[in-house]
Amino acid sequence: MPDNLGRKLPTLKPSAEGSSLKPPINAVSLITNSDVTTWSPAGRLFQIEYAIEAVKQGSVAISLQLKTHVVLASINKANSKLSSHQKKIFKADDHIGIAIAGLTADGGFLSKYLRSDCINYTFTYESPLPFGRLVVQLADNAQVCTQRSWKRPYGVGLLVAGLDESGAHLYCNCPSGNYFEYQAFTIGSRSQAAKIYLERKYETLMGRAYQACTLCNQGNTTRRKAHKLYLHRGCGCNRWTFPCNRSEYHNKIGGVV
Amino acid sequence: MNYFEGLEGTVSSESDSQRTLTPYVTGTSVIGIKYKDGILMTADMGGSYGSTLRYKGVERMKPVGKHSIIGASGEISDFQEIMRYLDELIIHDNMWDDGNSLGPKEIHNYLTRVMYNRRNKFDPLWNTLVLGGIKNGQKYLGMVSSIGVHFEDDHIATGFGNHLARPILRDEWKEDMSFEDAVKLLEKCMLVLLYRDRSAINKLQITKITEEGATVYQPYALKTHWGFTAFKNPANGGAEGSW
Repeated sequence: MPDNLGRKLPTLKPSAEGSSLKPPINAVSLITNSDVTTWSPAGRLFQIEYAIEAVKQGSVAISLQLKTHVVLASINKANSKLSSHQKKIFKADDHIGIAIAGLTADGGFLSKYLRSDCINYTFTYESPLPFGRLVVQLADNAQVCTQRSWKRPYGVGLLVAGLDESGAHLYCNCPSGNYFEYQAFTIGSRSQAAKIYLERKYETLMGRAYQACTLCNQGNTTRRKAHKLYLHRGCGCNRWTFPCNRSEYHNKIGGVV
Repeated sequence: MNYFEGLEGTVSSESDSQRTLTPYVTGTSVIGIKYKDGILMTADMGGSYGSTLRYKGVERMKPVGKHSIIGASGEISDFQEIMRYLDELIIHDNMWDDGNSLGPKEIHNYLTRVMYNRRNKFDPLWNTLVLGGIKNGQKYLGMVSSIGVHFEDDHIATGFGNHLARPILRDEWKEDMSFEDAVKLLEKCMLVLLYRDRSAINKLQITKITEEGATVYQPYALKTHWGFTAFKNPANGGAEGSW
């Protein structure tokens, strides 16, 4: 339906999970919805909330953090029977990995940015980037996109997992520019079920890194080697690992942590 | 050892007045060694103005952050500039306040980048820097020169120390020396330098870095012996030949 300026705007469909975010349908709110730099009368920035919706549309990514290991898992969908499976887990550095959900193009762009940040730090300091700082920089970057009239928020949520001096950590970065540290988290469609499972089972899973992969419960396979970080591609059945436990981290980075 | 002579014609004249062509106030050798608890470094407190020993209270070694110490030979003003860069680096690192801190390896590599980039602009920082530290039980000792040559070793010497102290260190340095043995070894090297390096003065400092932190000791003098015929009676059969 056209707004009072005669523009025809597309109608919004609610997300697959049936979230409570229903766009208000009147002229004023259609104006406030379309610019990230325009507040609504109720004090909301709708574009950011819609971006978070886009994350919920993506297929699920799950992560679990233990004392010395972090595990990332994802469901990788394929567009058609003939196409390859979508890549959702990226290695940003030897000690950092990310899983994305949402607009995968934005995800690929952000992973490139993270990789170049990591390698610039390693070039100057010959040491791995303490990745808590990387997460903060990423969040600041995302915030900038919410405060420029010529930009839009990133449409991808990131689960950033890695190791630093104080052990294994997991962060979730939102399109809003918020980031939080989690013991376990899931993003994407139908992630609520996984969240409930994690809340119940987290304490018992603390010591068993390899079992964490079974959380991603649609067709992933796991291997019983608790000292490796496993990043599985689900439906494609490719197993891709990169060493992320403490001792391999030491060896790779040359021992000075 | 002037790598940058004859540059006047090669770079645009607007930038000439800003470039370092020769050093003015210089410090002589710095010696660093690894020992049981960390790193020991020593340097004298002299700042030479050409051939004049003009300044006798120059501290050429400073702690950097929680885990490292730096010693510099060469142009003193450039060392002060480097200290400003390092202070800024450490302050920004502390501002993150996240439990991570820059260790000696990171600072060594940062300095290598700084020195090498200046060298590429034909505007070097006229120093040879010794960077030592200990973090999480790992000892680290390295050196960066004004042209960006950098390496790590168990013992480091700059300036005249390259020629006079290094042979002594190669013969007598051992893994995990005690503090007293390490100080004795450093004093032996400094004594040779005091006798033979004309820019050395008899007022030296020792700096130590361990897991507990850095300590810069009070300056003191070495005992020297000058009772040779060559000095007492140089004209009549005393001073002959060289060395």
